[in-house]
Amino acid sequence: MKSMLLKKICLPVLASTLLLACERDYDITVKDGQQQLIVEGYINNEFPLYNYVVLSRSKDFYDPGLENLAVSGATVSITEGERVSGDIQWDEATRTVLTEGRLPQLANSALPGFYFDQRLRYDSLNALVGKPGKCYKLTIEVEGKQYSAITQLPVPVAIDTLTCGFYYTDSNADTTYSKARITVNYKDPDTIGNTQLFFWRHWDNRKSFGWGALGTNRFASGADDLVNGQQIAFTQSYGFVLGDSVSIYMASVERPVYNFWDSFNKARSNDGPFATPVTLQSTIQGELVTGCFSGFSVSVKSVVVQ
Amino acid sequence: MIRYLVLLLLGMTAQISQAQLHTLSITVADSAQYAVANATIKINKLEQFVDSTGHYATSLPPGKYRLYFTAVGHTPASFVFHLHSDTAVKVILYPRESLLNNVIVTARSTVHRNQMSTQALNINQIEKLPVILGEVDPLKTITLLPGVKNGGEASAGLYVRGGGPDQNLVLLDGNPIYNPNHLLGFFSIFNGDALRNIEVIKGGIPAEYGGRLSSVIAVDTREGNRDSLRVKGGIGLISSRLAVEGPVDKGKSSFLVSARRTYIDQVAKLVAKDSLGDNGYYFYDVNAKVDFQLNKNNSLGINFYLGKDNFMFVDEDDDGPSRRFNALWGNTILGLTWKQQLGKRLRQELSIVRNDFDLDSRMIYGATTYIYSSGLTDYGAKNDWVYSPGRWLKIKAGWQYTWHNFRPGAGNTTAGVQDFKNNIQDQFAHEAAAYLSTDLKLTSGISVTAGLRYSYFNQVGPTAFVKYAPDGAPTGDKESYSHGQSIARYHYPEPRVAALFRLSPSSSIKLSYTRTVQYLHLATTSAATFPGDLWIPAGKNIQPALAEQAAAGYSKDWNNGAWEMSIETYYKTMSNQIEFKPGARLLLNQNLEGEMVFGKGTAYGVELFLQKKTGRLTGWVGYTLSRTEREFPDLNGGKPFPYRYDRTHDGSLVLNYKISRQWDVSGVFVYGTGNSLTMPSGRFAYGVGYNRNERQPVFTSINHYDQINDYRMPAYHRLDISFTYVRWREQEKRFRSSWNFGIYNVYNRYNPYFIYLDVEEETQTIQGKKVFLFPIVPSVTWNFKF
Repeated sequence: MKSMLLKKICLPVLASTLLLACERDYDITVKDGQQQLIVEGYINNEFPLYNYVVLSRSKDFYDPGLENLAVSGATVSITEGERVSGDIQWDEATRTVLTEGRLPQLANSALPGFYFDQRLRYDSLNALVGKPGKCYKLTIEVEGKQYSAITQLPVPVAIDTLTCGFYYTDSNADTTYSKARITVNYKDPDTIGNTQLFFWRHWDNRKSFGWGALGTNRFASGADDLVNGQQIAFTQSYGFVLGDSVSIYMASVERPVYNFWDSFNKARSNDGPFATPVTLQSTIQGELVTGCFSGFSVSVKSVVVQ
Repeated sequence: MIRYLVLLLLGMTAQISQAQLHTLSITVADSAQYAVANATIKINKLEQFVDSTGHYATSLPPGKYRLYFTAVGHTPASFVFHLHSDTAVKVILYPRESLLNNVIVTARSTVHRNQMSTQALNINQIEKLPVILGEVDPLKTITLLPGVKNGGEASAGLYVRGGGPDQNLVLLDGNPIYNPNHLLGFFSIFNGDALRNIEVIKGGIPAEYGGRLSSVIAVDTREGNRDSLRVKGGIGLISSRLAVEGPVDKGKSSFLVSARRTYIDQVAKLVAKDSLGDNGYYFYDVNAKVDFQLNKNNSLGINFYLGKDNFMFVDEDDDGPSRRFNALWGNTILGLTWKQQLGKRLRQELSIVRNDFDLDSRMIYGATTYIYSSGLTDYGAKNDWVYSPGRWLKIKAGWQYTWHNFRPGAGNTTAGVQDFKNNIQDQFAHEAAAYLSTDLKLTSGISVTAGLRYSYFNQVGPTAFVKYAPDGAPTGDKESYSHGQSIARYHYPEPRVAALFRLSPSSSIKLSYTRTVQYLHLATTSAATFPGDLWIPAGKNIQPALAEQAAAGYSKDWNNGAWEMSIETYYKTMSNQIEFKPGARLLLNQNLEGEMVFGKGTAYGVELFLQKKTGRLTGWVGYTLSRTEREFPDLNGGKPFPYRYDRTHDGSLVLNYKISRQWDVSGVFVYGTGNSLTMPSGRFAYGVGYNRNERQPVFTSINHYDQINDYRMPAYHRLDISFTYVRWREQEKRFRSSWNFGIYNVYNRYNPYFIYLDVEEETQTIQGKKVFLFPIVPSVTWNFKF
């Protein structure tokens, strides 16, 4: 009886106080805004296949399906340039046109809305690749409207070593894995203002394509505001299965690119009472457009998790 | 049954003043010899007010006078006497015992008080009202008054006339409180057992108060009993309280120590150890007060407050690393006050205080342990003088000074992840103000209070700023300031004017204009107040906030003050308001200024208040019709948008009915327009790739937003009821006890704590969700005193 009383009276009290609050479905009517062009562009120094542009459109909030609404038939190009005493001088000879098309590297599958340098198909050694220190201009023309963005590839920072540690056992209903986390060790350059994003490829995504399909650290990306010039040991919170072979890509990026991906990380994990609506820090110029042209100076290192 | 005692201390000097006037000096005290600061005196029907020390002085021609005294929580008294020489009168009003008698809410009549836009509640009133989980909370109760709003369910943030939660000067015995809440605002730090009354000033703020834009919320603690040892306490569902008071030196000095602790964590472990694991939360607080009557004219008081919250949260995620969070935070305040009466017309009060707020937290996220601490320490001194040369004039003057030391954050992470130790630079500032104010009775029908406050703020070194580029990247340059070197200096005059026009003995019109300046901003991005919120001083780029408010009101009472009504309207502008960019990082960010945007705000509205103060049925109705907006060049495309806590309609009904000698019933009904929120205006997929193992696209669904705060949450309404039972036979005994039975949210409405849109990428579904905290919640509390 006593315990019944305790449960009947105390449990709701406890539930409330310990924030185990109750939740119900609730219809929320939103006002739809104007459709936007969504731009996802990459230029990196290591993987020509991973230099591409994805164009899509935003949807009304309750439209069915969550996948992207591809935008085809756009004119997309990337031009290389160099910063000379503050101004960027564009080398029009380097202008590369990106078009949609099936690539043998991707099993000739159709990827609507993906724009590549078509040299990847027949002359991949000379396909578009970024050079550290250079600037790149993305121009897009779609349905008579112009959009553009500029990014610069910083000097890549080398990964010294990858070390494994923080072992734990991850048990699900039917599987039990021994897992470990990977620490990326590198020396932050002496100049302040260096920022990095981390991606990885392992068994689960070994054949996947695109930066979005790689593993990435949702919770922390690196900026050296507080740790300039220090030896950094940055542990990725993702747990890798022991024996897995993992490649870590550390992409050094300029600040606007870091800001965009930082806002992206905030926007993707953002609900609850403490959330604020996050608007992505777009780097694309033009009307009703959101997105980022990301210049990555990538360093790669691989390790077998043990 | 005459329940008052009059001591006439006839003036020894039979001097007859030149104008044939005699000084009548009145002191109103309670049976424990403490000043009754909220008393009203009617001298031949002309209403006057005592000051905070219970004093009132006037000059009158010789003759026969009828004096009538009233005060909240006290039995009224009246007598007739002949004035034929300078006379000092001490009147003792007997308190109404909350456990003994029906509380007749004899709130001080505000009709002829110069101070407008103010409301006071006595602890006896507050204790009768139903509250969540039986926890008496004055900060929650004052949100039942018009013009004072809470942030929603379980939020203790107060929003006065469109101002933000950091714009209220919350004073505990005159000392500012930086974080008046326990966990996330469910409970305030004020323990009912230690309190005497609470007063809110929403407009026409007098010149002696400053440093915050919107309101003054003054909470006064009781002094201990000077005659005998007394114990008071209560046992509730989630917390217990105990207060001990008594004389140090009988009749001259007393102490009061009051403490409470929640034991939800302990109860939780008994009931559901498995599901709760190491999760837990508790807080405790201690109020202590010692006061000494040094002699007839001098008294000394020591105030101490200590409160600590401890919160532990463990989340063992199936698909990833576990999260552990432990935070310990609280206020510590120590103050010393000397009160002195210099002759009959002059008195002064000098106080010094040390005020600390500290937060220590440790967060373990996967492999990472973040240790983060922040806080601030203030040393302050203040001195107030009041000179009352005659009943037509009162002059107030004073100064105050505070040395601020802000510790925005020291943190380090351990265990491999970006090993670093880091200190965001401390910030230091001088804040000072001086004021002069006069209460002048121009004619019998017109009174004017005119004051000027001059405030000064100086942020000083030592510090070294890291300079940031507009894109948020550090430039590598630093700007250094040596010890004491000024970084940014501001000073502003703050005029405060109020006028009262007496239309009849029972009605008046009041007008006021005030300008207020606030040099500290609270950095918060969340709806709930969180101990990690930071106080940030005005500096090079952060300007002090300024507000100007004009208000007009009409008040009337009838049936000998049994009923009182008031209607007030206000218009307020606020400049240099701060918002954080969406997704701003507050912790361990040395470029906080880079995360801020600056704008302005306006607020206007009408407040209605009708109160019945006597009889078996007492209570009030409050209603506010208002609008508050913000306008920021960098937000919402520069267009004005509603403030999150803009509430078009806000109403409350509070009733207390004496059923019998043993039973009391109280009910509270509240209604408010829902908060405004920003909702997405569309959606897109980003981070698009292709997973060839599963042969499907990979992406992240991202919302995009157009208009700020253009969505309204559903209206909030709720009814609470409580019953108080006192055993009649105990009522004349020393040991007395009472039971309080409460029901919170009687009709079990699911008022949302928050709502959100849940986008499930795996199932490709979108569903709105509503989270609510408190369904119908019963509570029971046993109170005792002896």
